[in-house]
Amino acid sequence: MKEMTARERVVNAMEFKPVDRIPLFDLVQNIPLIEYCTGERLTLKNGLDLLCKTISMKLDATRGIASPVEEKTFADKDGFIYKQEWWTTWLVDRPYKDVQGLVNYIKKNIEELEDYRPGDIWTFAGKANVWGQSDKSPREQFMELQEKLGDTVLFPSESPVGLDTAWIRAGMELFSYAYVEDPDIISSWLQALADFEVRRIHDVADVDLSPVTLVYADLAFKTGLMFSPKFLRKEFFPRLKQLVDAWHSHGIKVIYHSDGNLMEVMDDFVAAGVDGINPVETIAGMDIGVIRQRYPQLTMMGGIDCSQLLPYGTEEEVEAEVKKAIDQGFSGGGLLLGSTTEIHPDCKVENVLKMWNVATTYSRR
Amino acid sequence: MLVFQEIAEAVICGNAKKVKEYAERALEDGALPQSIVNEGLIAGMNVVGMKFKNNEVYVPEVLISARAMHAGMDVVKPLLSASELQDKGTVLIGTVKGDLHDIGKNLVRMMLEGAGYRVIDLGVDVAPEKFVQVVQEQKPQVVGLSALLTTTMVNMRSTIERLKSYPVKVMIGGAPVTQKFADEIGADAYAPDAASAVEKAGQLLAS
Ligand code: B12
Repeated sequence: MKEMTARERVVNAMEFKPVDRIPLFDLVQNIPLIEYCTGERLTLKNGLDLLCKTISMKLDATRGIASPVEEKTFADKDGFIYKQEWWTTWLVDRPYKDVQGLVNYIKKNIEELEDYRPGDIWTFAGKANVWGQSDKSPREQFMELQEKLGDTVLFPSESPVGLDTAWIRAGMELFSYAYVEDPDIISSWLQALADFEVRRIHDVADVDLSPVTLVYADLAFKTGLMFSPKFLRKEFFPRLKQLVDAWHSHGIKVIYHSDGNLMEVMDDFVAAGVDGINPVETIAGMDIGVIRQRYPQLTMMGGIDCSQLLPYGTEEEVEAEVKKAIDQGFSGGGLLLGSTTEIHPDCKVENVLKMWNVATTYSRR
Repeated sequence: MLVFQEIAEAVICGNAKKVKEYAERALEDGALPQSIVNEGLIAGMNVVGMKFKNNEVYVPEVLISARAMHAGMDVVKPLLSASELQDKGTVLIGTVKGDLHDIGKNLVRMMLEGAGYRVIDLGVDVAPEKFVQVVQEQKPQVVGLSALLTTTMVNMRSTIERLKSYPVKVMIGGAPVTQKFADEIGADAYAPDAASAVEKAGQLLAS
C-alpha cells in the first residue's frame, strides 16, 4: 500500500478502513527524547519548536502542545494559588475552606461561565483565552502550531466535560460534602461548565483543521471508578453526550480521555456516542483484547504502559507489549498506539524509540 | 448494644449528625467511650472499607463516611485516656517528594483512623529527611508512603534507605506501585487499596 498521510491514517484507522500501518499518537513531555530526536539542546525558548519538530518526525497525532514554562507560583483573581513547572500546572491552595465558601464561589463562577466570549476556554487555571496567553484567535493559534507540526494531526484544544474541572477546583472532599448538602448547586455548576464548553465547541470546531478531538474528565483510578455509576449516569453521561453531539455536528470524531479503570461504565461511554477511548491504562486493568472483543467498533488510543513498562521495562518487554497490543487491538483499524497518557520524563528514550519502531514495522506486515 | 449498630449504620451512610447524636446518647446510657469507638465507629468504617474495595461505594461516599466517623470521634475523644488513644499504634503517612496527589493517601489515612490507629499525616511533597525527623520525634511503628507518579516512586526508595536504621516498618502504595517494586526497594508491605492498607498495617504491627 502506498504511504499515507498522517491524517488519512488516523481517520481511516478510526473508521476501520485500510491503513498502510498503525497510527502513532502521543503527548511528549520528555526532554532527553526531544533532544535525541532533534539533536539540539532544549531550552525554555526553543522548547516549543523542538517539541513540534520531534512530533512531526515521529507521530501521526498529538495533543496538548504547549511551551514549557518556568517554575513559578501564582494566584488568580479569585485567590486560587497555582504552581507551575515545565508542562505541569497544579492547584496548591483554594480561596475557601468549607462548603459555604465553596458554594459562594460556585455561584459566582456560574455567572462567569454564562458570560462566554468567543475564544474563551475553561482551563485548569480558570477561564482564559485559548492556550492561555495569546491574543490571537483560536484559529490563528491552531494554524501556527499546525505549521510547526507539519502533517501530524493536532487535536484542537481539549474539551472538558466539567466534572474533573469541578472536583479538582473544589477539592474532592469539599466536592463530596457539597454534593450531599446541596446537590442542586453542584448539578447547576456541572451544567454551566458543560454549556460553556458546548458554546466553545461551536466556536472552534472545524473539521478541516482537525478531524478528531479529545473530550475528557478524569473519573477513575487504579482499581475502578472514583464516582458511582449512579452518580455518573445522572451528573456526567448526559453532559458528555451534549459535548459529543456538538463535536459530531461538525463532523469531528470524539475520543474520550479518562485515566484509570473504566470497565464498569464502558457501555455508557459507547451509548454516549464516543468514537474512541484514551489512554487505555493497562496497569489499571484496562485490557485491549477484552475491549476489542466487546466493542468491535470502538477505537482505542494509547495502551502502552507509561507507569512501569516504558520507564523500567527492557526493550524486549516493550517489543512484546507493542506486538500484543497490535495483535489484540488492531483489527485493521481501531487502535492509535501510544503511551498510557504521556511520554513523561522517566520513560527511557530507547524504550520509546523501540515502541515506535516495532509498531510501524510490525503493523505493516 | 443496639446503639453501637446504629452508630455503625450512620457511619456507613455518612450521616454525621446522626453519628454525633447516637454517640452522645450512648454515653448518656453509660456506654464506654472505647466501645463506642470499637463497636460503632470502627465497625462502621470497616464495612465502608470493604465496600470500597469491592467497588460497592466510591471515593465521595468514603469521604462522607469518614467525616461522619470524625463527628463521632469528636464526641468521645475527650473521654479517652492517652493510652487508649495510642493503644493500637501510630502510623506516619505522607506523599513522597515531588508528588502532589493526595486523594488516595487521604483515604488511607481516614481508613487507618477509622480502624483506630493514631495517624500523623505529613501531607504531600514530603522529603525523606522530613519522614526521618518525624520518625525520631514521634516514634510511629509504621510509615506509609504514597506515590502516584513514576517520577516520584524513586523517592520511596531513598526514603526507605534513610529509615533503615530506625525501628519502623514501611508500607507503600499508589497507582504505579506494585508488589514487585515494593520487594525491590525493601518495603515491608504493599497494599493496592485503602482497606488492604489497614489489614497490612495490622499485620506489620503484629509482626
Ligand atoms: C486525580 C489525578 C490528578 C490530580 C490530583 C488531585 C489530588 N489532589 O490528588 C491532578 C490533576 C492535580 C493531577 C496532576 C498530575 N498527574 Co495525575 N492523576 C490523577 C488520577 C486521574 C487519579 C488519582 C487519584 O486521585 N485516584 C483516586 C485514589 C483514591 O486512588 P489512588 O491514589 O490510587 O489511591 C489508592 C491506592 O493506590 C492506595 N494507596 C494510595 N496511596 C497509598 C499509600 C499507602 C501507604 C498504601 C498502603 C496505599 C496507598 O490506596 C488508595 C485508596 O484505595 C491518576 C490516574 C490513576 N490511574 O490513578 C492520574 C495519574 C496518577 N497522574 C499522572 C500524571 C502524569 C500527572 C501529572 C504529571 C500531569 C501533568 N503533566 O500535569 C500531574 C502531576 C502533579 C504532581 N507533581 O504531582 C499519571 C502518572 C503516570 C505515571 N505513572 O507517572 C496518572 C497515572 C495518569 C496517567 N494515566 O498517566 N493528577
